[in-house]
Amino acid sequence: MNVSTSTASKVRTIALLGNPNSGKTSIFNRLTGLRQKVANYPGVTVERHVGAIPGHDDTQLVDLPGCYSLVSRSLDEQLARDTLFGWLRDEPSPDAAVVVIDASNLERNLFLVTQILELGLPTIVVCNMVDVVRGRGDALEIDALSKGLGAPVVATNALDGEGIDELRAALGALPHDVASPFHIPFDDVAQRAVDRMADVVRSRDLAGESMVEGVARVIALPSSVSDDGDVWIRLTAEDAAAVEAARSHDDSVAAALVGQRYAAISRIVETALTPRADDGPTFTDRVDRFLTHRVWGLMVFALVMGGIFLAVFSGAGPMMDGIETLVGLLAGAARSIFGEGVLADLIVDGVIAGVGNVVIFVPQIAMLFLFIALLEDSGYMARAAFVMDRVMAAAGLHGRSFIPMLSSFACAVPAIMATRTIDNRRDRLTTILVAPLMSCSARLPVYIIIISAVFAGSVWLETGILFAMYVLGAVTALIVAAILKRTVFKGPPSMFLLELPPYRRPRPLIVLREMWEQTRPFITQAGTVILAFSVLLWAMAYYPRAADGTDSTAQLKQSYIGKLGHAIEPVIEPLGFDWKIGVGLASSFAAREVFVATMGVVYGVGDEEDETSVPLREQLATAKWPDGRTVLTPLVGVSLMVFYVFACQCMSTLAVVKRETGGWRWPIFMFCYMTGIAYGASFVVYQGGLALGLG
Amino acid sequence: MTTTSSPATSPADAPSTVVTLNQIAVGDCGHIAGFDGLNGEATRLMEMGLLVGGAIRVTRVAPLGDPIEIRVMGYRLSLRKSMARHILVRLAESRA
Repeated sequence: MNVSTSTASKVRTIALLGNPNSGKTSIFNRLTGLRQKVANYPGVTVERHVGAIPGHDDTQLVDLPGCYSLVSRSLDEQLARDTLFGWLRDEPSPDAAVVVIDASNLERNLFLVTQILELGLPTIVVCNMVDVVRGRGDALEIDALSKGLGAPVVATNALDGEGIDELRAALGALPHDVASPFHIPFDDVAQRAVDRMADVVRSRDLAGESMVEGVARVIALPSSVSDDGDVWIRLTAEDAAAVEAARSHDDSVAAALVGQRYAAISRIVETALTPRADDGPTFTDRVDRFLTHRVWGLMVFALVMGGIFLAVFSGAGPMMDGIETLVGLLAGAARSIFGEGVLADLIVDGVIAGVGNVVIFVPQIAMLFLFIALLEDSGYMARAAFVMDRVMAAAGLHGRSFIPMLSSFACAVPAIMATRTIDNRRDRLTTILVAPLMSCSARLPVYIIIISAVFAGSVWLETGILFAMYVLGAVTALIVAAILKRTVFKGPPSMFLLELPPYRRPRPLIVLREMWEQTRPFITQAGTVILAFSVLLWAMAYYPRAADGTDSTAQLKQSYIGKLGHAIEPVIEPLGFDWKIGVGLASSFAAREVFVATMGVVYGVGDEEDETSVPLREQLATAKWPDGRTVLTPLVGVSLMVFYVFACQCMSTLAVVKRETGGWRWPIFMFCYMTGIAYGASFVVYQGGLALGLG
Repeated sequence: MTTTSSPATSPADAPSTVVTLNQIAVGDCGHIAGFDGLNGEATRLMEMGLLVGGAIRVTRVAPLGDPIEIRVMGYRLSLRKSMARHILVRLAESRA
């Protein structure tokens, strides 16, 4: 695990690139084994993997995001381009490149390859998935491909390790310079456009001389990334304007640049690949006939999603119970070691309870990511996006937004992390901002205690109200998305281009790694935030101390948080809430499920209550205002649940939004709009209900 | 952007119809004749293998009617009908 990050000039940096679905990650894992680590790009919180190659201690392999072309159109593609060009701040361009291609989809994959070869870096082409080509009966001549590209080509099958030794050997033999750089021949018109761009690249010193032609050939094509994400690039506004001006040729030039590149690729492929005659539908065709069928497709989709929902809800239960027991044991042990007093209270009620609060959700999150990784690796995820795109389009969203939205029923934190697969930044931000409106698992205990307190009796009524809360959140999420897409994130409709890769057997190692990679930040980062706020909340409920012998309710009433509850009572009274509910609301802003425990404390029935406790339920149902009116009427219950549907009461979510969007702007926006809707909706429900005589 | 071979000037000896991609039935194929009303996006389509003159086949329509799945340059690609409307296709003579 000890990866050298020394910046000594002796360390050779090799960039690893490839199309999405080319098996780039498998190659990276094969080459580096476990000798890799995750690092952030300088200045942005986009992760990248850096690994050492056993036997090549003087090299480090940098895994760049998958891309179809160096002409960048998403954050991922821009990162790949800027790393190669040496346009990242504090980051020299790599010394060499390894490009992974899907051998079964040669032509399109070679588009990126030829762009990289033109940069003049020493490059190895890894022709992955050769087993698929062989299985299809096609004849692929690696030597001919290598001759056509003027670069070493290694045939691999990363699944069983075929060709990896050869790849290591090729890496060892990689020269430091390229004698005669590869260039696609362009006609005069196209080459003149490139030359104009090359003049700009030279005069503004955007690339070293050996790279000028290659860089010019990429940036001569129009790039659609300009919104933002440019923060880490060392190009100035004047540089960008000069590039833009030099690109003023009409679209037929762009067409020529792409067309002539593909024409050259086609000639190379002809010498290397002899396809067997097409003999009808493949395995993937047959599976897709069922999985994207008008009727069965929708049913399978509903079953798969329902199954995941169910598994995340119920399957994680035993593990969560186990963690709960462990946390309880730990708290007991801490109690017996530290005895009574402030220190013990801090450790048990603050630290252990706080960390336990987060850790308890880890099984759910890990499970969710296990399923997402399985869907992603098998190829079904792309079909899910294909099937659901119509619904998402109606809300102005991308088909890929569906999975994060669904994940958010379990927890918004992994859902927000799952939005990284959405290439358009506006779509990604919209999805991040609406995902927390889906009712997450932390809201469930709150719904259950309120429903059982005020609607006890009919199972159908209870279930119906619970379901209504889930629907309310989901429908609102789609409406808010539609509004955001027409206002804040207004812009040309994003292009929906989704490759549907062939189905394949999920690879256990990749799936488990992916699960761990996605779960780990939740444990480390969100954990620290929750921990800090748990301790803060604990202290606010603990201080100032009342005289010894005061019961917990009186202590709470005169504590800081009790005073806070009283202070906000005038604000929440129009919603039908008293100060005790106010305390519950205030404490919920660290994590929603805290509400149940807080209510337990507030109503003086101990702080060990959970949602199944009959006494707390009865206490809630019979609580009175000073003038004798019942506090929690059915109307107030609905108002309270509606508040919980909408309110942004989750520090972990806000922390992860900050991390994923790179600043406080969007988490603050999210907090304000969600809590604003919560207040408005509760107000309308309660005051409207009163006006209709439902109070 | 309007690129090359306008529909009106098809050679007389090869009678063929140019339609937009969204009008093609599942299973039918043809060759891309050009792009209409797309700006930078046409470049992206070309980079993804939708070349003027290249073969294209509609293989599937999503259960809810949109998007569609096409086969181009030997792989499967999905795009929305709103995009398909801007892609001109010269239908192959013999319909499958």
